Amino acid sequence: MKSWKLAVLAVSGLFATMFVLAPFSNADAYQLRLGGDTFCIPDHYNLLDQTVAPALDIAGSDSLRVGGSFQVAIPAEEVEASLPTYQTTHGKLPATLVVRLEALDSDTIAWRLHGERHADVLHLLGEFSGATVQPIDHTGLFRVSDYPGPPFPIWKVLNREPEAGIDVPSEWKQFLVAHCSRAGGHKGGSSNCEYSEDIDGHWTTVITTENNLPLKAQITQFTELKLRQWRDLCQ
Amino acid sequence: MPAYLHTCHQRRVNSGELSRLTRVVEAYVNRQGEIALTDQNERLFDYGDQRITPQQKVYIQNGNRRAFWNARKKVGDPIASVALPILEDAGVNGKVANWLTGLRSNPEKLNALGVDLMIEHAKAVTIDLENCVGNVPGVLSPEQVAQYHHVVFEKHGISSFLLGSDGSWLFGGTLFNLPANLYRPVWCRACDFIGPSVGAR
Repeated sequence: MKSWKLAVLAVSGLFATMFVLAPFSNADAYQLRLGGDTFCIPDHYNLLDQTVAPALDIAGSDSLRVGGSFQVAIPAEEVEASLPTYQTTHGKLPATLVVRLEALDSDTIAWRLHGERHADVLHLLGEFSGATVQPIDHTGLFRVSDYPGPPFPIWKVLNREPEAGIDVPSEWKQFLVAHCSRAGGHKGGSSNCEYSEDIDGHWTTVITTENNLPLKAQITQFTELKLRQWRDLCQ
Repeated sequence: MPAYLHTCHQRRVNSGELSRLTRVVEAYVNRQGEIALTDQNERLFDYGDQRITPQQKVYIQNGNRRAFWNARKKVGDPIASVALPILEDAGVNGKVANWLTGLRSNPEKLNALGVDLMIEHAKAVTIDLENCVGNVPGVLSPEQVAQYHHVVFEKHGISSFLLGSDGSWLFGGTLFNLPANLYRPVWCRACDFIGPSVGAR
């Protein structure tokens, strides 16, 4: 590698270390800024990653001063303590709840939530014209996948059976429950299912497991409360 | 419309959400005045169609990491060049990456991890396309790649045998929890830029 690149990397590393270690200055909690909000997350949680908004707007950087993102893992047992029917495993893997927040402008959030963008999966058109539909027993939910299977490696979960010509709700969350993927290896029996919401102006992605999707509304509420607790801890 | 605009970008321009910065600068801004799109990636690198093809879906279903990553390399997916040495346990990067997982002596678990990462990559690419993220929808940023790695590592209980800590700092490009984008020039020059001020000149 050219020497100037090494020099830039080394200097950047020093500055980045300062930015990254700053949130850890509080011995009991990570203090994270995201957009206009500050979250104080107790340090017993696993902070998987974060993109810190830099102190200066740097041309070519990926985040503005009011930008950034972070991702936190909440143990399944903690979710179960609030939601007693939350299953702590799926297959052989834990049903850890992962919450990812990203600072996005309101226009982009509104555009991403628009129902028409996922009309094809509801109508089985386009890439989903040859998709397989499989009801999930005892849930009223349906797996829809354009991958070989079942079992599918990647699929979407809907709360209604897809049908050509039915009205498309204004927001996709009214019919599309989650995007799911198989976990646990080639013939793994677990899953990662994610969905995104606008929670207090932040693009919030929640990752759970398929067997917990019937609790989506309660999981979302749990996440909202947890984020508010973490904001309140800073005050 | 400039050639570096994808169909989903064009829709956002037509709706008024994005507008050209100036006639001279190849960049578009959102309604907050933040640069949301530039030609930086398309100008410097060649990208094919990033959609997961029917053939790639078969590879994924069969757990065929080698065939999948070779197919992704052909369409200019920058992560393929990172994944293939790891799959082959070749080169310094490949061997170190496998060693850091602590699973090198357990090929079955290492492969299970690799299959899950392949699946999460395909899902992330698809969601990136659906959400029209960055300069090149379907091409991930270092940050996005780090995010799905950390989810998979967390689920598999990959921890750091080196420091006796959790494994959250593990991932090629985000060692010691430094920002993934910092390592862009090292392992992922062709990765996408995302967020406001993306690829600003």
